[in-house]
Amino acid sequence: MSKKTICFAVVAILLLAAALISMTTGSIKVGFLELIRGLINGDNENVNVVRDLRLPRIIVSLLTGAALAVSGVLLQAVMRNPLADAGVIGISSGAGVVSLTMVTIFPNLFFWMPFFSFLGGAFACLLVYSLSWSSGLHPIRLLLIGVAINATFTGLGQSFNYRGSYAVTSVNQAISSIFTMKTWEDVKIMGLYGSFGLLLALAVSSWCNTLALQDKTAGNLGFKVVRARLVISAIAVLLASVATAVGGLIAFVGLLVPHIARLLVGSDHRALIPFSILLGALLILTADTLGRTVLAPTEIPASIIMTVIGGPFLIFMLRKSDRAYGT
Amino acid sequence: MELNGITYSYDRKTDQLQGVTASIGQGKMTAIIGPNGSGKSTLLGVMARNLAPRSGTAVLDGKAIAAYKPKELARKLAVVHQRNDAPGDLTVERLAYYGRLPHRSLFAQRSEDDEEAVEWALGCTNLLARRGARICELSGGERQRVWIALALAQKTPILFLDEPTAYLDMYYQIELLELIRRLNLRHGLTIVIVLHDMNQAVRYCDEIIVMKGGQAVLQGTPEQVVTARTIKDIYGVDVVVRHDELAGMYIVPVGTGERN
Repeated sequence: MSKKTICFAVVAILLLAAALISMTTGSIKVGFLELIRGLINGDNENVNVVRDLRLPRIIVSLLTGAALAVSGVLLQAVMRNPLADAGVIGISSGAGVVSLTMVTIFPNLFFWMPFFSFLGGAFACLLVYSLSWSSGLHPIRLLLIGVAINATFTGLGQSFNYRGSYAVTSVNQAISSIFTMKTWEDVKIMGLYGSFGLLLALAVSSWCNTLALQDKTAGNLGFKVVRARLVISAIAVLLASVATAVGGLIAFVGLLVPHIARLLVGSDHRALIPFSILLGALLILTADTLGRTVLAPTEIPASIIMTVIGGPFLIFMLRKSDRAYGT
Repeated sequence: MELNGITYSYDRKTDQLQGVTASIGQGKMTAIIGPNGSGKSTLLGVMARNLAPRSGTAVLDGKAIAAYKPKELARKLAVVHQRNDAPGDLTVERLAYYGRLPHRSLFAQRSEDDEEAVEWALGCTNLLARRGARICELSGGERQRVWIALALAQKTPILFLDEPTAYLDMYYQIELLELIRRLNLRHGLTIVIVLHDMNQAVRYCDEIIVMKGGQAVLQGTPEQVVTARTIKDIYGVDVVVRHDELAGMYIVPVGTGERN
């Protein structure tokens, strides 16, 4: 069996295990068989609570992790920059600010939040592109501009915290990403837009591969570079903004997961994208599950746990592999 | 390919190419030479449609290259650039398969034609034994040959190369030029190659186009183009032109004519 296959199998099994553990542990504990029976019959009080509260939360974390990880992969491919990530270059914070503003002004448009989110993310992405285009998307300039845009939007977002008391609770939820109180309504939004984005990402994986060549080279192969860039960026923005709209701001996943994934399965996007889906889902689910169980009944936001496990793990992986990706 | 009055500028203030008119002979191997900054690579960029000229046209098979569809043009001409990037863990064979892109529709699988073309490309470039190697494991010479293999897999009648011998040591330079000349003579490829070394251009090419200050100042066979006077005019270097039974015509620079 190739290393790639083993990696896929291991992560898939871990993901399954994490989902099961996550479903059965917490403030209400249910056994595995009890859970299955309860889900089928619907007559177990505890299981009904798990179904209404814990299950949507798990599904939302899985999809959020997958979406953020893949948006990172896509942005790195399209900007030819290994440090590109929706969180780093301001797409997530742009999405957050715009959706927040719109929902604060028009609270009854809640279902359209992903759409406003997308507008905000697309706006941030457009700013990054247009301001670094003249440098030929020079990696350092692009990142600096992204960081500046991120700072601006983050600042705008945080200033909501200091407004009247009314907005505070909803804002906190949106910018600090706690997966508590996720409902089947969130699952619907996330499932619809998120899976759509993920499917599209899988479909453009060979485009991402071609973009790894230089623009000139790709162009001489008859490849429509600009069109591919636009489409892939749009998919990345869609994924990042839906994840932000539903899951809140989680930095670093789009950086962490793709890099670990490249070390394990190589830089071929046809393997990298599906693997990042699994790994991103696993990471956020694990972070969220730990977050609600370690210090129960207090909850630690998934985004915090994620960075605490993720950071050292990435360093460990990088130190272990002194050779090129995928070796 | 015919070039008619091509003018190009990067910044709209100064023209890097000023009305270049030249013709590329079919089945010939043509060198573009000239001092640094004379517009050699820019001219090649316009000919490969990487750069859009401000005025003038490049006509290929009776049709302006601007009028070709991207894939249609990619089936006519292939380009090997001076600097090339690819993920280090890509294998030689997979990189060569990128050359089949212009012949494939979006989601099509590899066809027999694709396999044949890649076999041929790897064979021509002596990479059959290295097909499973990763790009990051290759030597400089091998790496340059992989990019040529990619271009060959496109199966185009025309091949452009931008200073393919830069950064290679003498052995790899000669190996590469012999390979390119073989492609020209045996397989009838029309080749345009940007070169720095005048002696290499003289030894391996049928035609030489000399660029200076954004203009094509001379075009002809090596014997017509390379004389002590023209070299002095173009590069400001005094040379002696010699003939040798084995090496043919060659030049030796003797100084810049400035007093020490």
